[in-house]
Amino acid sequence: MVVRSADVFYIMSKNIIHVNNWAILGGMESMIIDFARTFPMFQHILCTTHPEREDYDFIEYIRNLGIKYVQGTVNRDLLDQFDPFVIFLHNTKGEFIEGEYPYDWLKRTNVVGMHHAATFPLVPAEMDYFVSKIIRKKYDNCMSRIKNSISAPPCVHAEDYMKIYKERGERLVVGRIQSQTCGDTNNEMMDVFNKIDNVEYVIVTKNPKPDTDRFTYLPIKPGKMPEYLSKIDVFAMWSNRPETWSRVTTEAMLSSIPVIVFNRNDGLAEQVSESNCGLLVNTPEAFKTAIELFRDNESLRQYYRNSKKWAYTNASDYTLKKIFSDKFLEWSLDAI
Amino acid sequence: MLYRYNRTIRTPVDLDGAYSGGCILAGGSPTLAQEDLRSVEQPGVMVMSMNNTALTIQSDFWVGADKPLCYSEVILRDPKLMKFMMISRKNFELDPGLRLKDLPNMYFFGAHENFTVNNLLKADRDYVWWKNTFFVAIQLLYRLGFRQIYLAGCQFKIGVDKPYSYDVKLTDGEVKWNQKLYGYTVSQMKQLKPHFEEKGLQVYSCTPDSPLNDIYPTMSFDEAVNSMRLEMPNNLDKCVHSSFFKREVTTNG
Repeated sequence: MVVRSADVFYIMSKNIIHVNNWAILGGMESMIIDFARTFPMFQHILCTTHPEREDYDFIEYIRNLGIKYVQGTVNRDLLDQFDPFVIFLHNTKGEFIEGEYPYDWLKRTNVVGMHHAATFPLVPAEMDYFVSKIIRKKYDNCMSRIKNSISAPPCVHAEDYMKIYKERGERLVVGRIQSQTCGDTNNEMMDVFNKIDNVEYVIVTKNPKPDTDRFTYLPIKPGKMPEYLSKIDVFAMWSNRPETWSRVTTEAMLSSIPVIVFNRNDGLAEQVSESNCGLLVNTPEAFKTAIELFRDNESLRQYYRNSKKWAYTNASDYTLKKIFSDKFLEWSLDAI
Repeated sequence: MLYRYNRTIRTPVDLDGAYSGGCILAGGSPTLAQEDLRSVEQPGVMVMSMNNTALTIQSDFWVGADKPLCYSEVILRDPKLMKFMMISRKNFELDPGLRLKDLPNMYFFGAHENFTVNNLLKADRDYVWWKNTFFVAIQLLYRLGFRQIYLAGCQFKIGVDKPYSYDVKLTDGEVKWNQKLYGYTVSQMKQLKPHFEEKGLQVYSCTPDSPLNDIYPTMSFDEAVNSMRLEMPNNLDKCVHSSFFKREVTTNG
């Protein structure tokens, strides 16, 4: 068969629908944004399944990036309206998909299951993407229903972060950043931070307080991460619960910032172990010691800055292109 | 943020700044019927009507925040009229199987009370609900891009015999409720004046005998129409056939 470039370009100018749960800023939504930036030849549409209305700043932000947004369930209306080339189902539960399992009507398009967490039932897909091996393992008993799969971290559009390089000032600056969807600051963490001398903190939170001598509070806002990360020397990932993977940690790695992470035997611990991007600690006391180590030992901080390369190779737009370019071409040719 | 519905899918619609210039905001006072209402049918004259006032004056936009049964179906079903309603009303059934969200040119907005006289015009996902359609209309016009609002039929007074410019009868209790609401609205409008000035919104009262005439600059209804017409060209009779331009190119070599 002779493939004309015009045919390929016709297919490549089609719609991609990303289905997720809520229209607020979180790791999943940020990945969708970066996916859209990595493949600008498609029109990207974000479809959120929960009918709660959206965060205004978030929608304004994605609108300015050219991403369309709708709210609805995954049904024939959605496919009729947008005729997608691919539909990405990010943690989409069966209750938000029309009809009954195995949703045969979805076969009219290419389906990619994006598993940021274990969400059942496993929707039949051309490809299943697991954000960590720990998540992949939760689907072990579904092996026979998985056609193609890949375990790769949620990827970050690297350009904005690669150029960040902060020289340390007199006081070490420790950053603590969480998205809207994860836990906020807690008293235990603040107690530990307060006990450490000669360290400043940048706390990105849903509820910023007035700044003090050592604490700067910043609001969670779409598109602000590069600016926030450019202010810090070490990233403290004090998570309040197990994480399947941590996008902000990847962003810190791409920005040459070492991380300190609570070891909860989760996807985040897997990320730190595989990338060697910083220190895994088990107790609040160890967390304090880790910050003091970075404060007192600049060579340690310099050592862990090298995880940038790992992040670029394994968790960036470069990685996304490696994973999907061939797939998109294959599916395009199938459609011709 | 405004929304429209396409069967089961909710889509936000970005109309912020889609317009510029001025717009008449038409309220239901009987004085409105005394104006030359045919004049708004001219090109360049924009009108937003509140509640059932769209029955009195030809309108481009309509806003209603009360229960859908309060409004004439002539308004609700008119595809020419761009209509704005509260999102909570979207599933109201006009007829079996015909919900408000299925109607043509119908847009919905969410609302909350947490605006103040210092931030009414700030960009927000939702619109104000101070139990009064008037302030929603002001916000809508501002976000649509209008920077001059001409208040017509906004007398903020109500009588028992002829409460509105359209046919409707009110009980004594309803008249009393409306009088209270109007008093509150005028007081809010007085407090809003510095905020409007800061945001570059010019409000003109074009209603005879309105309490707002002591607070905002006044002009007549005709003057408001004429000021909207100022930017409009008058050479509508000077259109030519496209072959005219071909001749011009040939002539110019």
